[in-house]
Amino acid sequence: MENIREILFFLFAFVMMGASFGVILHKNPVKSALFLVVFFVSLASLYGVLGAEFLAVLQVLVYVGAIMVLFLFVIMLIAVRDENFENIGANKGKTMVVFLLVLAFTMQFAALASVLSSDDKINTKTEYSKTIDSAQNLTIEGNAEVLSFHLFEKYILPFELISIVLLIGVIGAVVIAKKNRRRLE
Amino acid sequence: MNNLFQFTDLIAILPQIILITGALLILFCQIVLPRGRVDAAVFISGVSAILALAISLFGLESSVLESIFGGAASSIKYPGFLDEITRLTKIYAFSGHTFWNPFASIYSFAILCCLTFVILMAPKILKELDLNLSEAYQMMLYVGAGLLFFISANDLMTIFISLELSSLPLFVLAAWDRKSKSSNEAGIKYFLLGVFSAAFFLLGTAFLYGATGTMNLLDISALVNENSKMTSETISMVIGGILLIMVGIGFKVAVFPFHAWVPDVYEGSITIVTALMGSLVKIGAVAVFFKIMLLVAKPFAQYLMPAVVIFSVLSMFYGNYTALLQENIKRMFAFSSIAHAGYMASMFYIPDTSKEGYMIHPETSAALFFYVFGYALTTVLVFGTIAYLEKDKPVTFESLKGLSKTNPISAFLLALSALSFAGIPPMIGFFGKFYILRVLLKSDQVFLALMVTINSLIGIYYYARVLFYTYWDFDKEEGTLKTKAFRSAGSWASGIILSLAVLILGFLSDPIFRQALSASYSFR
Repeated sequence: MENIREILFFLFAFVMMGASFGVILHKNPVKSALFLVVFFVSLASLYGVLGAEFLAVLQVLVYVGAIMVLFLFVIMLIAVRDENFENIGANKGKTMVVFLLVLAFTMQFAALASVLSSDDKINTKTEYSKTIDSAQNLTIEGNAEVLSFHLFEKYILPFELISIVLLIGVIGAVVIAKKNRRRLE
Repeated sequence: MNNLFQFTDLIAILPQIILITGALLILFCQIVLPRGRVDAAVFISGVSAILALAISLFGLESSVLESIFGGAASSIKYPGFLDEITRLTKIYAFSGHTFWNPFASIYSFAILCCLTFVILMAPKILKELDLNLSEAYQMMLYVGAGLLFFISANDLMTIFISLELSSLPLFVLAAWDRKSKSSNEAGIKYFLLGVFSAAFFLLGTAFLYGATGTMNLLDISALVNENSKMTSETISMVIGGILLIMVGIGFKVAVFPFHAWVPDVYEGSITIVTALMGSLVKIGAVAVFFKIMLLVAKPFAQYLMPAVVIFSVLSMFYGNYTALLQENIKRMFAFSSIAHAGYMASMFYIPDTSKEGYMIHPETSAALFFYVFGYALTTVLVFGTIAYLEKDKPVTFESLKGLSKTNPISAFLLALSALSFAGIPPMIGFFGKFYILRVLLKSDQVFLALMVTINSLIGIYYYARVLFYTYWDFDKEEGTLKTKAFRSAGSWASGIILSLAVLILGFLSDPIFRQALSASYSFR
């Protein structure tokens, strides 16, 4: 069972690809959003496989719990109707999904087979990278500790920059979408 | 592990801090001031841009500073302060996330110059278009701060976030004219392609991180240059990562296969925003592209050199060929900017044949900087002129007829910048091309030199068309464009300074060139 992480990785990667194709190609916006939920959950599982449980929990809480609910609210508030894809008919869309999934599955199966057959596994971590190793040995509390340490000491500058990026997002959205711009002056 | 950060860390990002503080002050003024908010915003943004510009000069090599100002720089006695800052010119701050050295300093200087000129020109135009909101100036300051972080970042994470910080306000500015369909189109196109390119950049980052285990550019540089530590797997991952990052930044530089957004976005946005996009973003993206090539690409020259040559040659030919066919002036300059991106890209990876160890010819950095700086100044000048020229409908070649009679100043400035773009001797554009060709020939890149020469010749045709239409004595007595050139004091000031810079900066190229040369050694 040494290869269990590789097998899990390919399993979740496969589900993720299927879900993301579903997001793009499904006619019904609500179902597209639900496919996005599947995508986020499998992404969280991938974080879990990598040993970052805290990040996985956050992913589920923030994206699935908060953001997706907002998404669904917005979709429900505007009129829900099937998007009319004129070129990609319903059947064509389905064959497309099936075709792409089969393609993805074969590619991933080939990758998995090569991983299982080769002596040395896919070398995701080189001799320089100790980070993944050290993360695996951590408990959930340790995970959060490491994360906050990196966030507030080593990565303090990008962290602060992100806050400015978010501020720009808010201001930009207001400026572009506001009805009566005179009030802003 | 030391504390969060120290005072020196804040010194290293002082220009950025000033710009962001200015932007937040504008936001604050909107809440506090009952009226005159826009005027306050113009004032604050102008002051903070000029202040940041002055501070960015402190990163230059002091010996070169003295050669510019004579003994004046050293005779000013602010006891300790100047020394303190020049001593700190080569610092790596925030645990290696950002640096402040001559490289960052010269490119910051170029960016802040262009930002200041755009801020000086913008108010009158925006007022006439009835789009004069204080948020516009706030967004411009954010763009400047983001690009300053972009070029001084030393960590792939910081580079990515500052890339977002600089592009997000530009998406907003591109869609600034809400009533115009083309502006909306420009905004959404720029947004989608920006997001698309960010995805490429992130994937490349992931590859580099996977191969080396660090995101610090200098650490990556040290690792990849040490052959013993690289296996064949990691080498292919690093090459893939660098290529993906090249694609991501190539969208911002607008080299050939990633150019598709340029004409529509440049044409659709308000012209003063186009000036911002064409100059600032180009400088920042070119600087970061060059920095990454300089630091990481050295051991993989045989794989990356062909990609660079393809980018460069194809952008030159595509940009020039399509620019020949344009009737709309803004679109013509947009396509010619792709050709100019090609000339710049020819500098991205020039091996030094004379020496064994240092693979990039040290003069490439200097030549590239001089070209980019001259190009950006001319771009601000030309789009600023067009912005004051156009009224309600876009400027075409047809409408330029007889412009030298109705509006001699705008005609002169258009002709001046067209000549500079074409590379006619006294203008700054000539010296840029001269330095590029010199470096290309010095390092035996005859093919690229030939391509640059041929394309400069093609370019002369459509730039000369601008002169032809503005100055040729058509039968018509008067031109159709009846607008006055530069209708405000600020735009007059920046127009005069810019045209002087385009005219005479070439003769003063020596100190700039030496400064840029010293910058190319800042990473060693």
